[in-house]
Amino acid sequence: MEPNHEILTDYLDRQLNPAISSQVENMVKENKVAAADLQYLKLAIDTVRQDAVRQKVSAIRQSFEKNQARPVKQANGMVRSMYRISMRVAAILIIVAGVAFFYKYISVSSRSVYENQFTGYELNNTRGQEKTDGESEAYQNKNWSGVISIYNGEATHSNKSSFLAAMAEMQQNHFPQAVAIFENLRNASGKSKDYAFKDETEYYLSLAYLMNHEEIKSVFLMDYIKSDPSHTYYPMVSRISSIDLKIIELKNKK
Amino acid sequence: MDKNIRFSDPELVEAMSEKNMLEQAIWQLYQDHGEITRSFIKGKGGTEQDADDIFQETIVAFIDSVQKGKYRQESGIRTFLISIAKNFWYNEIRKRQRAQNRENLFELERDPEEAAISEVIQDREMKHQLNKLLQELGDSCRKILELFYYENLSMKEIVSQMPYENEQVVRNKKYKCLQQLTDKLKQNPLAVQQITDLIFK
Repeated sequence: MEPNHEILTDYLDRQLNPAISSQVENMVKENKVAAADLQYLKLAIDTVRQDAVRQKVSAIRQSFEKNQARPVKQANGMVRSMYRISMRVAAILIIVAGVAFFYKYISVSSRSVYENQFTGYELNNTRGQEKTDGESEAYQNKNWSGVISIYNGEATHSNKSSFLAAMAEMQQNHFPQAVAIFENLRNASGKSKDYAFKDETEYYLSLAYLMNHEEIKSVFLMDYIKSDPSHTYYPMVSRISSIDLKIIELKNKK
Repeated sequence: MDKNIRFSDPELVEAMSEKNMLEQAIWQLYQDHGEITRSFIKGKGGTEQDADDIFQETIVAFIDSVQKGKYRQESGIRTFLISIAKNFWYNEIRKRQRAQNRENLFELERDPEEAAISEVIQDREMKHQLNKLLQELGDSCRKILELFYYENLSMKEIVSQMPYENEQVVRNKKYKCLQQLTDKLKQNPLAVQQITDLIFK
């Protein structure tokens, strides 16, 4: 028997009867070229089968990836819903913050800060002990008009006298007068280098400014006090929130 | 295909040899071993695409090993798959001329079923080349050979699936296609080497 492609193929396809199959087997045993041809055919068929398996695996891979995409989609949905929840929370927080700020903006005023901060000055008896004057006595007796009257009767004013007079004006809600006296006192102190009642003057002047519609000056002076921890009124001014000061500044910026 | 059917390892191996159960078996291989094998490849520097491709090749090679009786179940399926995937990826890196990194990427431990795996690895490059030769034959040849040799359809059944006049036309076409493929194999150095080793040494 001569080796040829068709008969070897039929042998592998089991299309031959047993007798011819047997002849082919003998031929392959004796003829190495025929044996090699048979192996090439087997390799070709194996390649076809491998290709079919590869296609099958590839199809299942695609199907599997699609199937796996579902949880990913759910995860995306979850991320999206988490995102939505976060956005809602953020929106609520923004609204709450907005409402809080609006409330703050409405409620904070020069008057509210003034009322929170203002406490009458208690005259220290040891200070100016050398001169137990009528002005001090009138101040301690809360005789505000008496204090002012004495102040106005003086030819020259000590720092203490001016300060008490300004405080007496403030007690009577005469803020323009109080501001005028405090400012004169500050200027005079600067020139004379007499710094008695300096810290007191700065603090109460800042409050008087608030009620005298000079909020910008007030905030400026308060910021100045806040910047100096050694200032007598630093603890008092530090209680005022920066936001409140900012609101006052905003409300009165022209 | 019922995706809820579960095989034990021995059942899975058996299913891989049965044509009507093969898809089910492949699905379970993806389900049970896909993620860990892919993670392994990604952990060794492979991309998502590398991991997907290597795992697909691993499954094809594993099915081939099982169908040819080379997988003897001495190691678990997962261990075997990861060993194949590891070696495929090792060769891929070497092919990409990143050999300098490979010593760092792989521990030099012995693989279970080393002989079977070694054969799988050696086969891979040749099978790639032979697969390309098959593609060169064209779709009609590929289809007719697949229907006959993989699906085991008769000539009559093939006639009903393809636009050929009768069984004799199909038979002639099949001979011709197989002849063309064999001729191509005879020109492929790796195939020639394999056949020469087998017959003449």
